[in-house]
Amino acid sequence: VQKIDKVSDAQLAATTIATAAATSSAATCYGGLALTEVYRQHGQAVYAVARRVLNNTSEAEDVTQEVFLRLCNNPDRFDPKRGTLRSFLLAQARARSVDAIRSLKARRQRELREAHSGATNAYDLHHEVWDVAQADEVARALEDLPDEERRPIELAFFDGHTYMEVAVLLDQPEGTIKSRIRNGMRRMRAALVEAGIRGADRSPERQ
Amino acid sequence: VGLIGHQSVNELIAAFALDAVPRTEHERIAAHLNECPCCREELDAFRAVAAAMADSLESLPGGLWLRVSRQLTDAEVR
Repeated sequence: VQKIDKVSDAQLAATTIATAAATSSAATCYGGLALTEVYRQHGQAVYAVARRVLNNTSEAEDVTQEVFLRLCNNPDRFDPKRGTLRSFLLAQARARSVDAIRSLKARRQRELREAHSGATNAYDLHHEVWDVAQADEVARALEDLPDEERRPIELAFFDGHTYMEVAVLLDQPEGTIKSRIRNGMRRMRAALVEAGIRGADRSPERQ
Repeated sequence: VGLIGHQSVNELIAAFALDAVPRTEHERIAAHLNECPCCREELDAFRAVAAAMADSLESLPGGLWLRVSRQLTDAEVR
């Protein structure tokens, strides 16, 4: 059962080798993997969830930071048997965002953050290069999907719903939602391969 | 419970790649994936799409990673 997780962890580890050299050793804490890599794969989704809940960019940054620090400080809280790392991180992002809404602490953290802002590093530079080159293509491919395929994918991926929940939300049979997610993902893949997105035709590495 | 056939697992690979499959179905899908290279290949492809979508969201704020890694250094996590 855990073999699949190992496969993806192995892929993760492979890409980690390339990025680890560029980052500080202090960032290596999550199960021996560079947290950089976990951040690279899931940072944006975590940030996006926080942003959705909070509707505020600086508070979303605070929550994103908290989610990754917690993972580092308490890696045991993530139990692979109960779901993937991604769904754990997204659930954390939602929970912490709700906490933040209820707390004035966010305001104080924002003031602290402003003292640190303005800097950049290897990760951000690398990421920015990728962003500029490819993010538009991906966004366009998603926009170009028929609504009936795009909505289920968005609800599943960005809002963290299961396909069953999506079926209820959209008032469609589960089988219909399953096919629409699959068809939409196939269409996305074809569009990304055509646009020359590196890795779209294979595994997630793109170094 | 029992085994899900290839067909019924294959229908769920895309949702699985998006983490949109309930936990109750996880084990059975994972078990099939261990034995089916063609489903695994499809999963890889869909995961690549999911990763690209995650990366295409509005840009992460510049400097956020630096904040996180600084906090880690300060905390001397390991």
